[in-house]
Amino acid sequence: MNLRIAERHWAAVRRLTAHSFIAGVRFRPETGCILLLTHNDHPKAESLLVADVLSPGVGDLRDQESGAVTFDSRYLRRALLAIRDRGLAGFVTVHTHPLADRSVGFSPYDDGNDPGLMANLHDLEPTGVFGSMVLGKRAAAARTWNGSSASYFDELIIVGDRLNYVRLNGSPDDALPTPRDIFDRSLALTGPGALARLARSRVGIVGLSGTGSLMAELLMRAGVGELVFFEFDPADRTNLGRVLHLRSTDAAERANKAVRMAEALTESGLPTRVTVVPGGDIRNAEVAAELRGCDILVGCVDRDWPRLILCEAAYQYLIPLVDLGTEIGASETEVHSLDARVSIVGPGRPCLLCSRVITQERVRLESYEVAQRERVLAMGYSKDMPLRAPAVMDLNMRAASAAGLIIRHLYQPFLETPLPHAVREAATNFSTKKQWYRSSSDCIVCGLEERLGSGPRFRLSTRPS
Amino acid sequence: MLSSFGFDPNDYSLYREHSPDVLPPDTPIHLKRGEHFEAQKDGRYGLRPVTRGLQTIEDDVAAVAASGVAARLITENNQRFIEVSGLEIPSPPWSGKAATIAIAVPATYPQGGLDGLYVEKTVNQSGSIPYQQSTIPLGGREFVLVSWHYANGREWNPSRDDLASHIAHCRGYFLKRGVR
Repeated sequence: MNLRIAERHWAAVRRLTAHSFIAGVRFRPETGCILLLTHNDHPKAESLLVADVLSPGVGDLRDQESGAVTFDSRYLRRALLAIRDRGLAGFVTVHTHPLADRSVGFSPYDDGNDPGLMANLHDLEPTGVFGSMVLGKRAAAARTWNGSSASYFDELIIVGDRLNYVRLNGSPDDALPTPRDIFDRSLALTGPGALARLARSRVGIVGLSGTGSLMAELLMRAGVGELVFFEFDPADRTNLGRVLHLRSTDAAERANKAVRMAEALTESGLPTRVTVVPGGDIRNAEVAAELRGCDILVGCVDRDWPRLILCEAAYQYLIPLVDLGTEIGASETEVHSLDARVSIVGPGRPCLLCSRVITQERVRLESYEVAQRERVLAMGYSKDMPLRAPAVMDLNMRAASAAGLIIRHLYQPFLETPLPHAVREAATNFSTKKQWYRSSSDCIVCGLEERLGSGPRFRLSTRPS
Repeated sequence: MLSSFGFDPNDYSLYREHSPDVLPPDTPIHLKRGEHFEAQKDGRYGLRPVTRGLQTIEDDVAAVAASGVAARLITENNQRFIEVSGLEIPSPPWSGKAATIAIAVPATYPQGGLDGLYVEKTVNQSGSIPYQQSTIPLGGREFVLVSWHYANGREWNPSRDDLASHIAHCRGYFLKRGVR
């Protein structure tokens, strides 16, 4: 099981424990803090999510002068009451071993005391998830307890401008694997370590039409381990000009685009596995629940309501979202603009509402039932509903190409950092621009502290069940 | 100690008899024969607070209902509406002193906000309903869609607005006199 944490929360942990690792100081105390957790119980990608970092107050950590640290019961109680009050899954204590650097482990003293504490916590909160983490300067180990037996986490995944992985068995990374020869020419961008992580990753692609089909192809050839497809729309003849691998027979049979793409990728014989989520419409709660099983989400839809759901999932489940869009501005006589956009959304970054990709009005109108939407549109006040937008494969490829590179960068950085919030290419005048936005403090998607790492605590904006 | 006597420490605090000082959680206590302790419950009032923007429409209906407004959630052809009845309106100019309204709820509520209202055709102004649009049946009764929107620059804000504020916004429609 992995532990996922937003970069901002991880920075708080490192700040709270920094005294243990100050160079040149003769006595470095053990320090600590508590991580409050939610539980992502997806069967293929179970993980714990850090919802908050509970800082110690005065007197909460004791015995630091004696080369140990004691979490005062009041501190643990605050954590216990916080998880009860906020409906969280549990908490993990974090303490340091100041002399540990590239490897760290629990001490016999830790091993002797942890079982009693965990038993006490389980007595008080029988369904709670409790554990402990020990930090060295550059290594970490963490475990949860079930009764008297502990099980170690696999990895800590720090989600921010990139995906940082820390093994939680206390050791530095294992020796790098030898990559398959098919990836030989891409090793300059995605080295063996990053490739190994890509091969273990599940990447969700939402929308398998123009941009989505291209993303599926690119990610398979980049070495992603599993692609998870979300698509409900059947193929039609208008798709043939821009959906990769789609055949005229598929359009005639109104085949599901995701199923057709899965067939085409499987025929390639590359190691990527493909899962097609039944139903495929993330506006339905049971389909949206599959989003939480992905390590990265790729949004290739042209509607605001599913984009809102993707944003909510990104913040609640600490999953980076790469959202693509293209727009052709044309009148009957001329083309004004050909724009390709890629937005990078997730913890610490503004959502698609704050970056003005989606609007509240479109979200509202799309989420009315058809008859209600038509009544509202008939009033003539809502000019913001897009009609069937023009699209061409050539432009879709510009967005897909940029998104593919950004996803590679998340695993092994090679682009300029910090990553902009969006990249927009105007193909008509050959210009690519970085775009920056500000999260609104009023925003209930990215500006709401409670949403970050909240997992299943809040429902996504899906159809009411 | 509280837990062992069946008190939820979330709701109760432990005191020595006649003592105003709370015994903090996990305080070591040396019991003496005949000593008494009291579990004092917290006094909690109001509705369970839900952060604005993370509440459901059901939370909001419960909140306005608890404040005395007759509101209920109904579904017609898969579209959810809030029906608010007994809404006091000025008469004249309206033909009655109370109205029943319905508010369409988008599935993305509260991010997808509330807008406009339907008025049951039991009240009118001189035989007509201002800003009248299409008519729909709801629960066997006829309701008229009214074009009544938030002003530019004061759009629905999910971190501040909710069902209660939208009902107040809808009352503005009935209070606006003599304008067509």
